[in-house]
Formats: sequence, structure tokens, C-alpha cells
Amino acid sequence: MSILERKFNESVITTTVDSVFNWARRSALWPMTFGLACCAIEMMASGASRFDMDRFGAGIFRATPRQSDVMIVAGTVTYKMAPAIKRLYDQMPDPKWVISMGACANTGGPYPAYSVLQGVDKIVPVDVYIAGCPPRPEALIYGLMKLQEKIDNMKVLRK
Amino acid sequence: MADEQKPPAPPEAPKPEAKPPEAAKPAAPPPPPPPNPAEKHPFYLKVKEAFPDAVVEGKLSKDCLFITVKKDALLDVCRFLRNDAAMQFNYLSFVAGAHYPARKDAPFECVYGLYSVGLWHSLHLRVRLADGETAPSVTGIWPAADWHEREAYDLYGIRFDGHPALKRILLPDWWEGHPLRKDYPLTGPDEAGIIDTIFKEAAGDEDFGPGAGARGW
Repeated sequence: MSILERKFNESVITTTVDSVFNWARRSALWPMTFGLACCAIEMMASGASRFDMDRFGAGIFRATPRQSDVMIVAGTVTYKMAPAIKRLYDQMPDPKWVISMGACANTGGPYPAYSVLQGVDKIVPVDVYIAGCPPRPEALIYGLMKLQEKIDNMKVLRK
Repeated sequence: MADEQKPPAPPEAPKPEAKPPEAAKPAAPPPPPPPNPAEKHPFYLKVKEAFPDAVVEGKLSKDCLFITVKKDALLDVCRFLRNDAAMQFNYLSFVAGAHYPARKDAPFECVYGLYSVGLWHSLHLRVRLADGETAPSVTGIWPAADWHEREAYDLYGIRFDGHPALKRILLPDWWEGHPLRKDYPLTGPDEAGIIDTIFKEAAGDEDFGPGAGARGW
């Protein structure tokens, strides 16, 4: 860095590719609208004015997987819904992340039943698990910030 | 706290008074069974009058009257209840299935919740069914029965004769078994097999996607 210091005009900054890509990715995480149960109410509250997830760049809920970066699985995943989740995840463009919100999406929660998938991680890879039944908006925002930390440590050009 | 004072000892309980000597009991016959209050209910009397052979049992639970009728007479009883001027059960609240495995001869049951919009009274009909026995569909009398009977078929495996499209309504079409039967495992069948099916369904475009649910109608 020091060699390049003060070699350019004022409007030029030097940085790393990783920093720039990660900064861009973590600052505009567009979630996919995926409310499945009561957790969705907390997710909506997180997006609304009191908690305002948009402060972290994640307030633009998209109604299509093609424009989404992160899928917030908010609620009970039934076997009937599971193929839709899997397909929508497959339709999201890379890079993509998944937040599993609440006890049901994490493990099946209070439904060890014939109709409920015991954890969404059995069909899609999960980056962040948020505990709670349902988690409060603060918890969702904390989970989102944890995901941003994870994205910050990604390597774009190196393995 | 350590130096807390012990509460004072409770005063001695007063001695119970001596019981009066019991009167010598004559060897009385067992009392007759209490009268069934349902059998005095005006609706019960009316149904019994119109269909003396069809009524199996009446039961009054809180304010709900349940009348068990024979399967063969169900449609006639339903039509009567809907059309009779004093009954006017023009609204079908629900059709529910039930499973009583202890009742060997007729373990299944359908419960029909009827209500009169206008006269503001309600009544419940029950029909007992043997395993595998079909029930007549009441969709011709109350179209609302359509989805309720599909639900009873989906979860209990009760089939309804004359239903326009008897297929699963809550569970996926590929589901095997009827989960609300008492002998169904609580946590469901083999999970790995189901997850396989989920992956196949998500990958293929045959039985999934817009309009797939409406196929076969």
C-alpha cells in the first residue's frame, strides 16, 4: 500500500478486490420473501419502520428468486412446501445465502410430526441459524449482521 | 435468612365429632340408568319420529346434540334436516373424520356439523363406519362438504361415494397412508425416502409448478 500512497489524484482510492466485492455484497443483501409461519410476522416487523432492516441494506424483499441474495426461511417447513423451497433456492443466482429463522426451520421445533421437515438444512445449505420461537426482530437483525461478517471474510479470487 | 423465627405451631385441630350411626341399608336393586337427556331433545324426537329405524343413539354434550344415524339413511336424514321448515339446517359447518380403534366392528366415524342460518340452532350427525367402508357423499345436499370430505379422505382414508373429485387436499399427492389414523406412526414414515421425493419434485417439472395442483379435475 505504501508504494501507491499519494500517487493518484484525490478521487482515486486503492483497496483490494475482496474488500470491494465483499463490501458491495454485504451492503445490499436482498432477501427473498419467504414467510412460512409466525416467524414471518417478526420478519415483517424487522423490515418495517421500528426496526428497519434497510439500515443494514437488507430491506428490499424481492418476490422472485432471480433478484435475491439471501433466503430467510421464516417458519415451519412442511414436506409439502419443501420442494418449493428447494426449487426457489436453486433458482437464486450465486452468490447466495440462507438464514434459517426460528426453531421450526432450524430443527422442526415443536413439530416432530409426520408432515414437518426436521430442519431446512436437510434440503438447502444454511449459513446462519437464529434461535427463538419466534426470534425477535433484534435476533433476526443480529443474525443478518453475523451473515454480513461471514460475507466480509469471503475470498473472491482465491480459494 | 438463618435467624428467621420459626412460625408458631398450628393450634390443635378440633376433634372430629363422632359420626352418626349409619342406617341399615336394605339390599336395593341397582338404580335404573339415568334417563338420556338427548332423548327428550325436540330435534332428536323429530328425527326419531321421521326415521324411527335410522337413529342409533342420541347424546347431549353441553348444549351440543349428537345423533348417530345408520349409514344407509344418512342422505335421507340430511335432506330432511335441510328441507324441514322447523329445522332448516342450510349450513354445513364441517365434516370430520374420527378413528376409534377400540370399537372393532366400526372403528371409523364421520361427524357432520349442521347449523341453521336463520333459525340459529345446530345439530351434529354421526355415522359409524367399518374399516374400508364407504360413506355417502353429502356434496349433493351441501356443496361445502366437498373439501371437508376430501380432508377426511386425506387424513383418515374414509372414502365417500358420489364425491366429484376425491383426492388428497392437505398432503402432497405422493403421500402414502392416512396420518390421523391411530395406528399411524407419529413422526411419520421413512424420512430419507420423503426427502428423496422432495429433491425429485424440486428438480423435475412434471408434477410441480403453476397449475399442477389443479390437474386431474
